[in-house]
Amino acid sequence: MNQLNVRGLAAALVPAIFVPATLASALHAQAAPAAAQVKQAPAGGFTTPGMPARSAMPQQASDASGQTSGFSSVFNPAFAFVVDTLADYSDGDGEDGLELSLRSAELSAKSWIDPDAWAYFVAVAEEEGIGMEEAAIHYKGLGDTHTLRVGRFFLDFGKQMQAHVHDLRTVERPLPLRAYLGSELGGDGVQWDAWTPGGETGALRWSLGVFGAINTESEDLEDLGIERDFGGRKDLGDLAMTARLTSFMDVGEHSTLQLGASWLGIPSFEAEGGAVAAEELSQNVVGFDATFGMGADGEDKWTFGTEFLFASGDTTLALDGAEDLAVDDKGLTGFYIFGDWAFEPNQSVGLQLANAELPTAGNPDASEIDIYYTRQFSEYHRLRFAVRQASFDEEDTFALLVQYTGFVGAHAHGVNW
Amino acid sequence: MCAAAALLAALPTHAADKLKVVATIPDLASMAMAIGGETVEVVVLAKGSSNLHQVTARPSHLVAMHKADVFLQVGLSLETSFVPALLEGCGNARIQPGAKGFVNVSEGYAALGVPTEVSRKDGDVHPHGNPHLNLDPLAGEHMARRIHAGLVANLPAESKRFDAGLEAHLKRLAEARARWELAAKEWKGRRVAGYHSDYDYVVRAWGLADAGSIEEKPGITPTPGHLARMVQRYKEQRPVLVLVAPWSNNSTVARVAEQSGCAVCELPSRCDAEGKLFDWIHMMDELHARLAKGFGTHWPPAQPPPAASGGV
Repeated sequence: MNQLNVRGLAAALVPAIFVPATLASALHAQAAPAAAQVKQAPAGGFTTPGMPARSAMPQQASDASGQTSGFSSVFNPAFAFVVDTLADYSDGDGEDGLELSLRSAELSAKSWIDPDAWAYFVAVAEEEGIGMEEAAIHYKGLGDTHTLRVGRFFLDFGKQMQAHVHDLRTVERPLPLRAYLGSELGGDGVQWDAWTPGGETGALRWSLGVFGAINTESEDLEDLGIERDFGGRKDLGDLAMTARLTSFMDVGEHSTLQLGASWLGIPSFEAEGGAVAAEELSQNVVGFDATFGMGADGEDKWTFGTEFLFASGDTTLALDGAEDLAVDDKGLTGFYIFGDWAFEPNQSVGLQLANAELPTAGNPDASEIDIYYTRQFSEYHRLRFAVRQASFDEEDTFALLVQYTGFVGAHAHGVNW
Repeated sequence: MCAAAALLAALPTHAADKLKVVATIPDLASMAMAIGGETVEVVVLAKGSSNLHQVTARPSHLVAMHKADVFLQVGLSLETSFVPALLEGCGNARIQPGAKGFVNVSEGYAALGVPTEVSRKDGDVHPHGNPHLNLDPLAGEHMARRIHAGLVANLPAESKRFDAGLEAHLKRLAEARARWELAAKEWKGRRVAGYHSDYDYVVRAWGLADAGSIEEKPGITPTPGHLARMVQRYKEQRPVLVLVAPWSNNSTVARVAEQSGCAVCELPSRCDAEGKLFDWIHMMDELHARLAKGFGTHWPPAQPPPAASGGV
């Protein structure tokens, strides 16, 4: 594809893929003469010995009929692809050795549906298989600062849960988020999101979500053979809900401060371990987050952040032999705190400390200390080295992590707040 | 200096009947204020002199965009690090692309360096061409007319006022361009190099000879091998004046200059929202003055500029 010129790309492939709509229309306009030349070319074209002769490129149905149809590509969405790889060397009381893995390969597409709505999907291939992490429609017709989101998407909880793991500042999501919410926290439902200016230099945003299914996994419980099910048909009162309130403001000329509070309520879920199951379980997670960024554009930038989480309800699950699934109604707390220093526009180092009471028998304390260095070779690929000291139930593990991530195509995010 | 002071005096007063204009860079803000005068209230997003590709969106940007009647951008993907997210999040239909409040000043201008193939193997490629239009000495009239059209479209009742503002601005611009052209007569064919492609429009405008950039590909940190080739090339083509922006006047440039025996000339990369270079014409005057100093030629030009006649 790299060898195709712009006209060739626009004429032969899909004008809207990988380029903004405005550019696509411009390219399409430029491509018209080239497309005409293709149609006039004699059948056959370039072939290699031993390969069957190919006919000239068929006319697109839309060109022939003068109409856009189901075979037209002019309204195709913008696509993006992310490759996230990880080398993980661990030494300690747990798993030892080196693991090289393609952590995830993500394909996403995004396009406007009409003036008031756009849709997207994010499909991810991981070790466990291929899954649809997000597929949702954003409806903007309720008012300028209101959005109604419908479908499957990441829940609006805290500062980091809306981002995919490969977009985070660290190799993995912080420990308490993984312990209480999961590495990724998706849901099938509806969310209303709105914001309002607060003076000239700040804004207040809030969201409310209702979900019929929550898509998350807990490594701690799965390691014990316990699976939770947050989906299924249920009464209205059993729907999961989220709420978030956050303020975002300038502090002086070169700093910003964000404060937020989040809540996730799951009134009904089931758990299964071994041969037994537990029903009518419930859980709540409340989080408070603060992020402070300082530094002028183009100069050193510092970012400090913290988040405190409190999980209550049927938080603690344990297998007591093969016959009994023990459920403990226990309040658990966890937090993380970090500081990042971007000493060059494309280089940064950071330190993160995290601690959490785990949702397993006895609620052992776990902590992680991460030191990481990130180098952006360009906007589209990134190398990260990280060192982690993890302590769990008086066992220590040291890990050296190398993450290499590449972004292809129209990968972009809105203002993250 | 007086003009800059006058423009600064016209900074936002939050009058309800003023046209609320948000400009991505001070260059566009200064033109909007020169044309709109007291009728416009202008907010600038990227105030400093950092690389525009690395500007971070701030809460105040979101609020300003939300309240804006008119949004001015250079376009050509110059502001791609912060504008798309702000446009998406600001919740203001008046300034979305396609609406009359959205003004892309590069629209209709023949951009330099439009790639014949769009691939990331060529670095931080801008599919529409070189985005540093605000540093083109010949683009002043085009940008001013685009801004004027945007202001008129959004506040037609003040069109006569905007017409008068444009006329006065173009008169100043014609006088300035005469100065620049006169100074540049002595520069034709002189060899220059850049760290990035910021000053390619200056090179084209005045017929300078491009000795190649220190960046091998736009936005990509140069490799040691490329730096060695550039040092050798600059040595062979001496004298080469290395043009850098405040954000790119870095240790790599200093090393290349030292090893090749070439001089470095730091030029402004855009107007300064809070300093004496707020006005675009003053900023370009400063750019030409520093070029003249770098080349060892006269500034202001030795001969009096010819009287402005007609267009610019």
